[in-house]
Amino acid sequence: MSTYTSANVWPVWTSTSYTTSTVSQSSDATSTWGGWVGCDYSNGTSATTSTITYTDSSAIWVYWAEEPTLKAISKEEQTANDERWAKEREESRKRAKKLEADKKAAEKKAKELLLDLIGEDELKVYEETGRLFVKGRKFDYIVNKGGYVQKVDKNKIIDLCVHIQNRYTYPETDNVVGMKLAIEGNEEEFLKIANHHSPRDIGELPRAACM
Amino acid sequence: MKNEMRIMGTLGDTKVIWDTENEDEVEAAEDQFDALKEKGFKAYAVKKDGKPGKEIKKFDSEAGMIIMVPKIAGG
Repeated sequence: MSTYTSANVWPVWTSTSYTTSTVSQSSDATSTWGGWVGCDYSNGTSATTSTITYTDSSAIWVYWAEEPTLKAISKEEQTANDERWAKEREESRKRAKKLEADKKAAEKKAKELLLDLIGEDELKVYEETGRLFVKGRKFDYIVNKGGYVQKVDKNKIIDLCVHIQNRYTYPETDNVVGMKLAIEGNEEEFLKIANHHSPRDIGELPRAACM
Repeated sequence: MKNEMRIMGTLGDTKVIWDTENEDEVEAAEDQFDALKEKGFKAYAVKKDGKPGKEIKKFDSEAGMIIMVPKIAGG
């Protein structure tokens, strides 16, 4: 069996013609690299292949990092591992499914809240367009379901970066309701908090739900 | 008269309902309102007639509907 250890595998890898009394063959960077990345490494000379026992990249890594005697995994252990991984994958799938269902239910509730504020007809428009038109005291705004707000200033539009805190943990429509209330409740403060982008021209306002 | 508070949460909003004539219910709703305000939530009194919401600093047991919203932040 090869006696590579963490102390000598690095020089073997990086130097040419490295030889010590514990490594029974001459090796060089190319052959060690071959051993690390390849399977069933052989440098082509019978003298060397007979002394190198590692066979793949995981084997040499173990020698390098821990120096244990490499043990082949038994069939029973492999089966147990496969079963454990399959169970973990199944649990992970269930968690993702539940998360998705919770998210849908939360969004449904958020739309019910918006329904109480804008009525059935406008909710339909919101569901079609994903936009809510909000009238402030100074400006008009388009609140987008995707999470951004546009301030309408005459024939210009200014994108505003503003949202409820930790918005990604809340339903999208709750963020829309939050923006609507923040604009109506205290427009000055809302504009102070929002980050403004450069104004741009707009031809026609997009369709949006309004009250 | 029935009133309600809708508290935004990660699983959708939670409803708190109270009757203005029931002191215990009003007190419980007010306690919850104060606790959320301390956490930084904003409170808005809204009507179901589509009129703009109004920010309120103190609990109003006769507001009709209060919506509690997490504070806003610039992106």
